[in-house]
Formats: sequence, structure tokens, C-alpha cells
Amino acid sequence: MNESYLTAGGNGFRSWLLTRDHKRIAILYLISISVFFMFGGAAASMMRAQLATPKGDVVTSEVYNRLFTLHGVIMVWFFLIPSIVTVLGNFLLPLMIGAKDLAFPRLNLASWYIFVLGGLLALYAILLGGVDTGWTFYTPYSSTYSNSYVILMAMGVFIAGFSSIFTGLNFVVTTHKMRAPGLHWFRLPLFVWALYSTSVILVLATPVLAITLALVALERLMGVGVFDPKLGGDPLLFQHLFWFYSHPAVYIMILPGFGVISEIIPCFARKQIFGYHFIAFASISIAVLGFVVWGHHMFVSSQSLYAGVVFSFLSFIVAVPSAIKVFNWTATLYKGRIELATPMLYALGFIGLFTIGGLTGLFLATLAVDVHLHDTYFVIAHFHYIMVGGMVMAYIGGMHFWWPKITGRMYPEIWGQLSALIIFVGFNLTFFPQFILGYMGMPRRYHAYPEQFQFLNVLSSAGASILGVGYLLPICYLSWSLVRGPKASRNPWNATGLEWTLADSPPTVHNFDEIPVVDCEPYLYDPAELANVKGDIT
Amino acid sequence: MTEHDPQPGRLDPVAEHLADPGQRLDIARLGVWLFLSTEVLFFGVLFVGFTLYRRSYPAEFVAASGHLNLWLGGFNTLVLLTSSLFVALAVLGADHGDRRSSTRYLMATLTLGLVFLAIKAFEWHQEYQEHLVPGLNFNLPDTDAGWAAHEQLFFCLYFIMTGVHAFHMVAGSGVLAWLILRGWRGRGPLSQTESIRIESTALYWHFVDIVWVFLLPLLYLTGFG
Amino acid sequence: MTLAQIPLFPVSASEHATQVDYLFLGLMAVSAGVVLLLTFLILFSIMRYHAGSAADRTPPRINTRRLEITWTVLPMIIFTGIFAWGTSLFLDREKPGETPKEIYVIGRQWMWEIRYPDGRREHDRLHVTLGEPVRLIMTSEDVIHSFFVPALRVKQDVVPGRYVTLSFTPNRCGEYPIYCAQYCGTAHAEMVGVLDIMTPVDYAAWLAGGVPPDSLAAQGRALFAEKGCAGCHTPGAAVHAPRLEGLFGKQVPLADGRFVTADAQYIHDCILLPHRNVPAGYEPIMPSYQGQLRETEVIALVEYVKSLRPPAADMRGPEVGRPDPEMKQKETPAP
Repeated sequence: MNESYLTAGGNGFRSWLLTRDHKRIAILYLISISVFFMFGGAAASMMRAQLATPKGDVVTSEVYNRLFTLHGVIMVWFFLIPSIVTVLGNFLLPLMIGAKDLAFPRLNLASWYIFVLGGLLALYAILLGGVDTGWTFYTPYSSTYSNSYVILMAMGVFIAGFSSIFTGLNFVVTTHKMRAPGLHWFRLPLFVWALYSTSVILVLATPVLAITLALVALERLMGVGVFDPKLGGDPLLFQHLFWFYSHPAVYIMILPGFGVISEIIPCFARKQIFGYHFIAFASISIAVLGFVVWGHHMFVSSQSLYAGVVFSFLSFIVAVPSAIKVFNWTATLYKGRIELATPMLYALGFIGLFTIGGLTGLFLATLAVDVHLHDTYFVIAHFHYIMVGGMVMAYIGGMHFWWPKITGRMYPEIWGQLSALIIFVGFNLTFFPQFILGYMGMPRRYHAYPEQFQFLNVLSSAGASILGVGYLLPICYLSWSLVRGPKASRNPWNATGLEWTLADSPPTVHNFDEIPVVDCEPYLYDPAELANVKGDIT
Repeated sequence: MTEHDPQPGRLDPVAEHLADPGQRLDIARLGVWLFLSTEVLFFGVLFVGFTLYRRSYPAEFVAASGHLNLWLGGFNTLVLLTSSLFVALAVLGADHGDRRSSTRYLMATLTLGLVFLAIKAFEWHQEYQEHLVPGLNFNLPDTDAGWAAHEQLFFCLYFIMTGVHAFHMVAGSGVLAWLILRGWRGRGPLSQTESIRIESTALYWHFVDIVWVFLLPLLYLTGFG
Repeated sequence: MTLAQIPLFPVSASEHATQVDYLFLGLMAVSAGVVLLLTFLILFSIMRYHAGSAADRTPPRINTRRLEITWTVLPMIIFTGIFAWGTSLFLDREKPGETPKEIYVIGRQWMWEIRYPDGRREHDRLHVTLGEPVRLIMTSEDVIHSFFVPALRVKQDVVPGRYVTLSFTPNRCGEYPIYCAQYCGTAHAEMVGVLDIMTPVDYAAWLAGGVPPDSLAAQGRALFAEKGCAGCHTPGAAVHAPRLEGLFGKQVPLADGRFVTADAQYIHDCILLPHRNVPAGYEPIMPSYQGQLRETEVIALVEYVKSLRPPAADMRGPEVGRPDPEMKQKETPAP
């Protein structure tokens, strides 16, 4: 009887901090990003408290500017970008392809240490007093005028970027070279396709961010004019370089979420996913097209009008593969056998909220409308619908789905369903009013605002407190389940996939006793069967 | 030669659970090529930035480039290209499992790499003496502020680009030194793991060489022709 | 505050704004349609096909490939339509044939400086006349700001080192907020102004009040002398420098073979970054005035150069240093 990875090889600090087991590294990431989420969430709470009144007297404008920067930097680089990839991806990728570990296990551990180092630098910058440039670091404000710890923060993000690059590299090589016999590309779970597409972006886009931030830091240090117009530099060059990375970055953030949904829906609709090939190709095309739309962040920046036209058109094109996915998931539900378990509630919530977020993206891709909406609360609502309504819901849903596999325990279902509902309601109350605020003209990054915007802001702040409760609940009952939750069987959901059918809950150190041979398609669910069916993979 | 390293796991970059030697080589190669593609994008940003500003300020960039020492730059190029030859010969030796030959060629590579760095340091020192280092002592007498600012932009990019390149050379030299030490300490023919390491390092070294081959005309030959 | 007082839609103060509202409503209609359709389909599936129901689950016989292609192509067609509508509205903001009134706006931390061509200056308040097309020429003195008037549905980032324009034709009187929409530091949220759209009568009254100042061009002329520009840019000067009369708006051949239009940006760059656009036939010897002139002063010089008519066209043009001997010869016709 093999020991689970959680206890095998000892349980002291050393065995965890020097592990090469992808599953333990996933847990290390889980702990780190949860800590960062707390910091980012605390900043958001203070911001919403400030914005409940027009004069904004909870904090000064200086503090508020540092709060929204903190919120953006931490949430983007230290929570969203790592989340599904480093926790669920690290844990599940080898299991899903029938491998015993990733291609470069030591590099995987190094990635975690680099991530933590970058995060500590960022936290140190915050402790010293923070940064007030916004997570977008626009020049020349960040390079010449800001009186805050820009260099330190930029270095923290720079270092964390290498963590992303190495993880992406690891995943690409693993997927290409370590699939079990018989597991050709079109038999892979869609979560693997999603991780692969994400990894390609991680590898190609992140270096651009790294060097761009390094240039900003050098500009501050050396006083040279790479981005400063007074010395012949071009502030728009920074924007082009920054968004060349940061637009693909938002696809880094959402693609893994798509992958999780593609795993949950077939399982809880008990039906093979509709349009497997289309979903797989849609993931790849989003990764590719995501690299050519960055200028839609710059329609009013004084970039050429004709560049704007091209970027607008391409931005509409990149919306098409996402739409295809939503239609395919919806079609999967039809004539299925639907169970509204907690992961399914999160997945359905994802479809609704992501669709709204994606549709509002069309508003912003439309040139004449974006001129009005750019840099207003409409944009904030748009990206929170995708990032929080989409990605975070997918992350939490995925954590619930794979919780029994990762921990060997089950969480209390009723609390799971209740929290999902609270989060859904709280989220919409927080962010829907912001669409209206944006069209009305309330700009972003305002610590105080004109009175006529107050009512909607109060609604939003009220929603935020509900959302906060919604997030605290899973933290509580999931932690509780570690100690008191009932032990989970190998495949409590009767799901297909090698991680469910062959690996224990929780898995052993080496995942499989012997490498499986795969001879059939994924998602072989049958909605007509009343009895629970096990996957037919030998 | 194709034996598994007798001490798996200690500093083995490739998963020790992969018994198949062909698979291990394959994986290492794909990993290195992917890593090099990230480096292409990393340097690419600097090349793009330089090209854009060169188009904006052609006269100043030509003048600034004239301050650089083309003889030293050219000689350094020969040094680096020769070092690439040696590292390729080291790989050839490693393919045959020849520990002595590959280690000696690695030493030759490292030596030339250090020569390159020494000459680069000397060049920088010269530029420092001529007051051409932005942020430290940049000063062009008898030039108006606008012109000087654009020449300073050239030098800013020059120091950043050659500095980042030099950093990559230093890292590569460190790895070479480590490989040489392990080469001398080991006995018998090279293991497959050691061979993979030498090949990966050689690929990296070639890449750093190619970056220099692009840097030279961009920085030193601006304004020729 | 009663429900009726909660504003959900901003006032529209121009035809363009109304057009943008229609486009926005069109997008809302499409979005609402999609959301309602998807919600219905999902709820229908959940209710009819939930785990305990005995509904018929035999797989439907449809051509899945055709369905996939349909719901790929259909959105693309709709998207293309929206794209076309949005693009045409975007490119259409300045109507051809109009001669808009040009007003300069300088953004700086943390206020908007308005400079009218007649020399009047204000901060955080912009007066325009109902129905008269306006073109704002804007730049920043420090960081990037963004000039945003929700009532007009227009916004333009204001970037240091370059001039940007924003055009509109107001069609509704009243006072409307101007916001800074690009984060610019501590008091970003306080960089709020007022756009005052007035009837021609009221505008005339506003003009009449207060002492008429020197026009921007006159201010520019004073600077031209004071800063020494006249030392070179005068006919007969020792230094070979381009003539400025009639320059504005012309095509200028540059030393590197390019042709550029001598617009406001060109004049601005010639003063602050002279080596960027050296005209053909001239040495790159003009000193840069970067750091010696504020953006407000550069604007005055631009207006002054704009006002310099070509020598033959207007004999009564402003004097530029010494009279041009060539001009004098043209005056006296040959016997």
C-alpha cells in the first residue's frame, strides 16, 4: 500500500521545501497565492470603503493611489497569473497525461522560489510605502515623476516573471514529450490544451515585460530618456511594449479557466463535451490572436487612427473563439444529465459572467464607443467580470472539483453550494453598477468623485462586503475539511480522466504504479445511463 | 557513453524518472530551444527600441556611434566567433564520449569568453574616461542640449544592450567553468547526462554569439554606407 | 435621493454624442439578446435535463460541423457590422469643409490651462459657442493626462512632447464636467473642469467682460524678439536660417529626403527638438529651447508663426526684424 504524496518522505519543513514532487510544489504555490490574495483583497476592501462616500475620507489620496496599485500588481502578477496554472496545472498535468512528474522537476521547484522572491520584493516595496503608479506603470509618471518605490516593485515583478517563463517552458516540454502511449494530441483533456496554450503565451510574452520594466527601472536610476520626451524619448513606446505583454497576459489569466470549465461541465452533465476539436483549436487561436490586439488599450493614446482601426478589427476577431467555447459548453448541457453540485454551480456562473464580460469587451473594441468608455469604470467592470466572475470562479470551482483528489477529503456540499450563490450575488452587486458608472463618465483611479455617482458606488461597496463573505466561507470549510472532512474515494464524481481513474485520492508520490496506455477518447460519459459509470480507460 | 549517470538526482536537470536516454536528450533539447526563444524576445525589445530611435535621430546616432572603438569591437567579434568554434568542437568530442577532448575545448571556449569580457570592460573604461556614460558622467562639450540628449540616448541603449549581453556571457562562463570542473573530476567516458549538459550549454553559447553578431553592426556600424 | 434622481445615462451635448449613444444601445441590444438566449438555453437544459428527470436523452441527429460553422460565422458577421459602424463614427469626428475654432489646452499636474487665440486664458474652464465647431490642440507639460468630457462622449490622452487634437460641435447649452481620465498622480481626481457651452449672445457678453489681452500671436511676437529667434530668422541675418513667412501649412522638404507638413507639431519640434526635422539645404545648427520655454510659450510662438503671411501676399504683415530688401524692390515697379 503506497503512501500518499502528502506524507511520503516525511512531513518536515525540509521535505516540503526541497521537494521535487509536482504535487507538493502545487501545494506550496497554493499557500503562497492564497496569502497574496489576502493582501490584494484587503486593498480592495479599503478601496471600496473609501468609495462609499464621494469625498472619500477613509484614506488620503496618496494612500488610495498606493492601494489601487497594490491591488492591481498583487492580483495580476501574484494571484491571477499563477493561480490555476501553478496550483491545478502543476498538480494535474502529469496525472492527466499519465506521467510521473513534469519534464524538469528541479526547475519547477526553482520556479516557486523565484516566485516567492519576487513576491517578497513586492511586499517589501509595499511595506516601505508602496507605489502609486497603477499596475500599468505608465511613463513618464513612473519613470520620472513618481515619488515611490517603483524600482523595487518593478524588480519584484521582473523576478516573478521568470517564474512564469520557467513554468511555461516546463509545461510545453512535458506536454510534447511525456504523454503516455496512445495519448495523442486529440485524446488529451481540454484542460491540457488550455495549459499548453497558456504556456506558449507565458514563454513568449513575459520576456517583453521583463525588459520593459527593467528599462523603466534603469530610467529612474540613470535619469536617461528612453521614455521621457524632454530627453527625446517616447512615452508611447512604453505603452506599446507594456501592452504587447499585458494583453496576452489577460489570456494567460483566462485560458486556464476555460480549461477547468471544459472538465467540469462534461462530468456534471454526464455527457461528452460538444465540439472537442473546436474548443481545442479555439484555445490555440486565442493564444495566437492575443498577440496582435494590444493596441486596443491605446485607442485614445495618440497612436495613429489607422492603427486603431486595425487593432479594433483584430479585437473583434479574437472574441470569436471565446464565443465558440461558450456555445459549445451550452450545447454540452443539452440532453445531458445535470447535477448541480458545487463545481457545476461555479462553472455555470462562469459561463454567465464570462459571457457578460466578453460582450462588454465588444463595447470596448468598438472605436467610437471606446473613446467614451476608455479609462472609466466601464473598463473596470469589464475586466472584473472576466477576471473575477470568470477566472476566480473557475479557480474556486476547480479547487472544489479536484479537492478530493488533492487532499483525499470531501468538503461539506451544502456550504459549497451556499458559498457559490453568495459569491455570485455579491459579485454582480459589486460590479454591475460599475458599467453604469462608466457610461455616466466616472473615471478610473479616482479617490473621490462627484456626488451624482454616489448611489451606484454605495451599491458596489455593499456588494463587495457580500463578496468578501463569499470568499471567506470556502477558506473556512475547505480548511475544516482537511481535518474533519470525510475521506474521499478514488473517483467520487465518477469522472473520466487518468487522474480520476488510475491515481489514488490523494495520489502516491509517483502517481501511477505503471504508465497507463490510452486507447480511447476523453469524456466518455453517457447521459442515458442512470447508474454511475466509470471511465473506460485501461 | 549512454549510461545513466551513476548518481541520479543530485544536480540532474532532467527528470530522473525518465529511464529512456533518447527521451532525456529530446526533452533537454526542446527545453533549451524554448529557453532561447524567450531570450530572443528579451533582446528583441531592445533591438526594436534601438531601431525606432535610430530612425528618429539618425544624425545623432551616427555621431554617437563614431565614438565607439570599432577595432576593439571587431576584434572581440573574432574572439567570440572563435570561441563558438571551440564550443562546437567540445560538443563533437562529447558526442564521442571523449572527456579529455571536450573538456579541453571547453577550457578554450571559456578562455576566449573571458578575453571577450576583458576587452569589453576595457572598452567601457575607455568610454568612461571620455565622459560617455549616462547617469554617471555623460558630457559632450560644445554640443547643444537637444543634440547631446539624443547622443546620450544612443549610449544609454549601448550600455544596456552590451551590458545585458555581457551578463549573459558571465552566466555562460560560470556554467562553462562548472562543466570544466566536473569534466576534470570525472573518470572514464562522459555519461549521457554530462553530454546533454555540454550540448545545452553550447547551444546557449552560440545564441549569445549570434546576439553579438547583430549587436556589432547595429551599434558600431551605424552610419556606414 | 429619490429613484428618479439617479442618473443612468449622461446628457448628450453634441450630435456625435447622440450617435455614440445609438451605437451603445445597439451593442446593448445585441448583448442582451445573447445573454437572454444563453440564459434561456442553460435554464431550459437544467430544468428539463436535471439528474432526476426522465426526459428523452437520445442524442439529437444534427450536423455538428454545420452548427459549429454557423455559430462561428454568424458572430463574425455581427461583429464586422458593429466594427464598421464604430469605425465610421470614430473617423468621422471632424467634418470636412469645416473651419473649427482652435483653442489650446495644456494639461499639467493638476489643472487644465486653456489658451484662446485671442490671448484670453483660463484654467479649468472652457467656454465655447453653441453650434460652432471646435478643435482643441492639446499638450501636457509633465505626465500623460486625458481630456474627457462625458457629455460629448469624447476623450483624448494629452501627451507631453506632442500635440494632439480633439474636435467637437456642441449642440446643447449648459455646464458639463471635464475630467482627467489618465492617472497622473496625487490629485488626479481633482483635475476636474467645466465645459461651458453658451449661446452666441452669452458668449459675446462673456468676451466683452474683462480687459482684452494680447492675442496669442502677439504674445508670440514678443517672445520671438525676447528669446532671440529674430536674430537668425530674419531676412539678411548672418546665419542662414529658414524664412518663416507663409511657412505654416506648407510641405517642407527635409535634409533626409522626407517631406513633412509644417503644422503645429512641426513648429513645436523645430523649437524644442530642432535636430529631428532639419530642412533640406540647411545646417543642423539651430539650438534647442528645451527647458527654456514652457508649453504655453511654445503655443504662442506657434500662433505667431501661423500668423506670418508670405511676403508677396500681405504687405501689411507683422514686421519681422528689418524689412526685407527683396520685398522693398517688389514694391517699386520697374519703370
